[in-house]
Amino acid sequence: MNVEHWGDSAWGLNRGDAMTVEANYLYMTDNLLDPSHVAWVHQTSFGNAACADDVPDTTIADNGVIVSRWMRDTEPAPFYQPFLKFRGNCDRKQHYEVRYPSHAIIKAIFVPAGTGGDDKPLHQDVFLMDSYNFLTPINENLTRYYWFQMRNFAPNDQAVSAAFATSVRTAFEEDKAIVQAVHRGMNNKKSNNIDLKIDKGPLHFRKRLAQMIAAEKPTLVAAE
Amino acid sequence: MTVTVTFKTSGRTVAWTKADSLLAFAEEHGIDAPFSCGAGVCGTCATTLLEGDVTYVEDPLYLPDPGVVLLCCTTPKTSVVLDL
Ligand code: FES
Ligand SMILES: [Fe+2]
Repeated sequence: MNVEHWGDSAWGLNRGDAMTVEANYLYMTDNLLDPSHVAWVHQTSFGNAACADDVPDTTIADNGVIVSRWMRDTEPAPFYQPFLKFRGNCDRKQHYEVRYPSHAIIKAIFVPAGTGGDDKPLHQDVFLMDSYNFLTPINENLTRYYWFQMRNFAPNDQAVSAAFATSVRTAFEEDKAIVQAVHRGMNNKKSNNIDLKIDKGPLHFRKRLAQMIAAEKPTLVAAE
Repeated sequence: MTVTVTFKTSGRTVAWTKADSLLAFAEEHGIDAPFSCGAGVCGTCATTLLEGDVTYVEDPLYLPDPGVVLLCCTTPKTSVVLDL
């Protein structure tokens, strides 16, 4: 896959890390196609109240699913604040993309309030961070999770890289706790599942992936 | 030619005016249509189409059986009669 800005001297790299999640990898793809989870799973870090409100757009692409939205004139989340080149409120874009079979590209954009929009050029003080996340299933109930991030500032600053490494790890531990609880809960379901509007992206992803897996099966059998 | 929407059970026929979906249109006219997600994933709004044809304006997760339409994802292509 193509990693945008890889090797670009203006961009920094958070080398990333890994963890084992006791859950099926599809609960992770669900999580990574739901920008609203940020408001309640990452309250103290990446989230702010605004994350819960605006309804995102869901794009069903050939290579995956994208759920994205602009949040207007909001306070920057505490985690990002120290790294912004501008003061005051921001327009924030969440781009949550999962590609087949199971890797995610999560892009965060922060620009001064009033300057954001897909139809507008990025403000010169823009904060950009692209997170690359790889979900590798070990079995039905276990997933090995790897990640790294690209950022458009402080290219060689070890302290910034270290700060992000720690914060991202902490945030992903928050996801892990929730996703593992979802996995356990879904395996012990006592009531019917209800699919909501925000499940659109995750469900389309699961459906297409299941079709791709089914399409591979005859070849596997023939090869045995 | 005007496109009309007939709600058979409610015994009403209304001229179609632009709305996001048949579901939104039914709501505007005070017709109780069942729904939950409003986004083509839950199937709650599945309704029998007695006459006419619809266009899917949003990709549903699964297409319903022939003769059934998802109100939240469709607008009328011709005049329609709904079992509603
Ligand atoms: S309301 Fe859920 S599919 Fe229409
Ligand atoms: Fe998260």
